[in-house]
Amino acid sequence: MSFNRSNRQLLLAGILIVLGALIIVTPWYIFPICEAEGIPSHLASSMSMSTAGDTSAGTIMKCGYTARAEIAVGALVILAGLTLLALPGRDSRRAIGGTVIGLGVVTVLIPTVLIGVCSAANAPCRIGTLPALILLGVLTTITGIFLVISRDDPKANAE
Amino acid sequence: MIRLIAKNIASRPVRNGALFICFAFIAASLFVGHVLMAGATASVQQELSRLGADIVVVPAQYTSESEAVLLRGEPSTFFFDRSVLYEVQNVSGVAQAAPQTYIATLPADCCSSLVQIIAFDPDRDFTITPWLYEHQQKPLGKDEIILGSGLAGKIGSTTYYYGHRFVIAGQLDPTGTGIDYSVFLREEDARVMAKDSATSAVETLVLPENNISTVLVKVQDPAQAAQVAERITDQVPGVRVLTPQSLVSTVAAQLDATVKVLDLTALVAILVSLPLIAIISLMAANERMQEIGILRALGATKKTIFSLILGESLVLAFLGGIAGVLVSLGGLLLFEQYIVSSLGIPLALPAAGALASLALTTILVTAAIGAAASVIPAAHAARTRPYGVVSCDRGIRSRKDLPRRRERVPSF
Repeated sequence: MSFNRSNRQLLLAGILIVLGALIIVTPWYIFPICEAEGIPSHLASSMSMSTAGDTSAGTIMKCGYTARAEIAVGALVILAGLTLLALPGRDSRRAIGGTVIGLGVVTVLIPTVLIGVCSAANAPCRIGTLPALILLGVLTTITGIFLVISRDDPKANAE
Repeated sequence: MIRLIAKNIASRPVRNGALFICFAFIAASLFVGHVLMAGATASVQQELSRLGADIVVVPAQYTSESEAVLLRGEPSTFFFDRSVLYEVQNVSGVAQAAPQTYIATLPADCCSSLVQIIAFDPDRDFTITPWLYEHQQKPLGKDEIILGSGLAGKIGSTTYYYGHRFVIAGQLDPTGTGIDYSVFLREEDARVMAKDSATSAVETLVLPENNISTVLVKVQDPAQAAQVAERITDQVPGVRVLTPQSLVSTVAAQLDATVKVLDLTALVAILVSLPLIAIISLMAANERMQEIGILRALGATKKTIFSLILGESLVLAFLGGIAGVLVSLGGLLLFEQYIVSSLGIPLALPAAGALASLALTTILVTAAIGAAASVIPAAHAARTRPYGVVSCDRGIRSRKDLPRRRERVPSF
């Protein structure tokens, strides 16, 4: 048994849709951020050993913003998967692959560089959400790379 | 031969992919369980060597709290009378005894999460003070603190505990244990902090003058540590003695269930996959009888055919083993702190050498499973007679399928 082009495309689209869904739900349900864990924001925001008194009581903490931003990224990954189903051509597949690589990188950058998570080493968002999002980002990037570099099935082209 | 094996594997991506995943799963289950056990044990030994203590004497009624502080850094406040220090010091075989006082911080509205404050006596201490001399060439000053590696904070910056201002003087290296989430300061400063807490903190810290939390003991002869521990238990009432062995067995008991589940998963995976892999290999060998027959007709020996079929399974198992080990190692590195928090164990991944040895053993075991599963199919394929399978597939594959001599010679 071997994969033909449409089977492979279907599988990759499915993988992208699942990855997108996981990027959305992970910070809220699978590896919840401090906010979803029920830690009050005025305490969670102080879960860093800052040098001065934290006056941000009542505001959304870093990991909350990260989780919200990842909803948008996850939705775009799902959209990329659906687009792959609708446009199975070689050029569109490569274009979608490029976009997915970018989305995967952004998935990693949001909790690590762009927004971040709580700084306390034992905060739930740091020990659970952060590594999970890094893993999902890396898997998304690998899927994107595969979409860009995978060759067309010669049998399918011959047809 | 290698090229032929690679081509055969690549020609059946789905079946071989499934086998590859199966081997990777077996390897990952075996590897994770044993790395967890080795990591937790190494972590406890690392912690005690960092403390420089052969024995830790704790209040008997707070044994579990003491273990939680030492192993996981779960903040706790508990005391016994300072007289214990002098009693322990008088036990024969004890070289040095140093008191420590444990104070859990408040979940304050600013500045810090819950951390364990460990106050020590600089005159008696043999744990933090030598480290300070080694790294900073000076003792800990007034209102200075040393942070565990797991706590965020810049050296030279200030932080507050119970409303008292402290300066961060240094940060310890990671140990994978409770020390990583502890703050060390002088006992004298802790007393001042407690005194001031009545006016400057949300909650007053009660720190009785003649109370301490633990006594760290260095014995004269480390080989006699167990005997000294026994003598302390006998001669000092109301205390419990923690030794590296007792802490390791506590962790081992905590990890036992997890490791058993992982080993059982690997065993079930092996038991299910072994016959499955054998059947798949047998099916593959049967499907390729004509190809094998041609190879035999071209001069391939039985040994070559046997090696070919066995080699395919061995390569798949070997690659699956490598993938399983790498993926599980990546997972362990990424989720190390999450595992520590969920299982409630200290964990410092073993050193590179020990990790490489565990990885190699796992890969070899996985490869051996792959080889064992394909011995019968490989032997079956090697017995194939070339003329039987090449000639229009009449089903003549071995000696027993040949017509008997009497049937072959027509009688007129």
